[in-house]
Amino acid sequence: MTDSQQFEAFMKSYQNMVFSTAVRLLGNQAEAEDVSQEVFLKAYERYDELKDSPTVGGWLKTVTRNLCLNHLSRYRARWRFFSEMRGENDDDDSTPEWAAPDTHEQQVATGDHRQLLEAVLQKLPSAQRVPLVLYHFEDMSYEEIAAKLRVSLSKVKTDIHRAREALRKKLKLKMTGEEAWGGLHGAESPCPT
Amino acid sequence: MNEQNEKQLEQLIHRELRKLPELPAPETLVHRVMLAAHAKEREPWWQRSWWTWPLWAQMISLATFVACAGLTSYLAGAVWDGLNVTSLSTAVSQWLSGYAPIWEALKALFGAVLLVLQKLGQPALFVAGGSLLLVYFLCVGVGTVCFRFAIKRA
Repeated sequence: MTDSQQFEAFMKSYQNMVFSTAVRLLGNQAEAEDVSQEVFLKAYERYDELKDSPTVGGWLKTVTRNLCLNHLSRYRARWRFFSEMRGENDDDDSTPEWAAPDTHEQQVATGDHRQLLEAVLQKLPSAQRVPLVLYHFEDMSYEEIAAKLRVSLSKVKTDIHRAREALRKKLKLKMTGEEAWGGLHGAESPCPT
Repeated sequence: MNEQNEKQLEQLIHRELRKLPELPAPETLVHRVMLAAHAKEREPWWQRSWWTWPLWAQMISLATFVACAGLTSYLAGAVWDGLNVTSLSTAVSQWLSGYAPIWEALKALFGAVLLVLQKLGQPALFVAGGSLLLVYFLCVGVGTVCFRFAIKRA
């Protein structure tokens, strides 16, 4: 097996993880693909060190996260004037653009709730989605997120709270008793503290 | 919302999010990366990151950088101490005198523009300024519409 073939196999093992992280942080598939490409190009340059490393998954995740945050601060800021002219509430009222079934019950029946959750997550404003993803997917604490994003701790908490509320409302999750999707089963890991 | 509700909401959302499977990467990603990686390999060494340059090139570039920094520091020190400032200014003015005709032409052009503006009077200036502003806002507006259209399409 040549080096290229080895690297292709390595990419295939990690590409979904890298791409998922990028999509959830950026909320845009095309940009996530660009960032994923950049991540793997960096990995290619250091492949000799990485191929036998047991921490390669963590390395890829960290690089992806950093590149996404750089991308958001560097490129999005240029377009903020145009893209964020609409208020935050506009986003709250919007519905996902994929073909959603008519009622919530149908969602449950077809098992599309994961797709709906992904769509709703991607539709959240960056200011809410990024800290939410860092907290729940990347297991970062509020303090670490505040330091990483260079914002105050209270802003991080407020943004994450708003994001959770938006998800709860759009997905019609119930706080007490039985949940709409039976979502109380199958917990995978505890929340970061 | 009280603290207990907040904690409950946090746990609820955490569970739901952690149940999400990984998203499949586009089929084209591997191909794109391999193409870019091979293209990068074909790049000459001087177009790559400095850290990947050959050792001899790194040494030469480092020595050049140190020499330039030293020279700049020496010259800055000399100017700061007031040494040979007069001779330096003479040298600079001599060097600049070669460009005198260009400067004269620019001066004449600027004078002519000023004269035209004076002849036209203030109203014309206001009209010109207003038109420029109008065009500027028109560009911003069209740009915004195009951008939002493009975002929607994406």
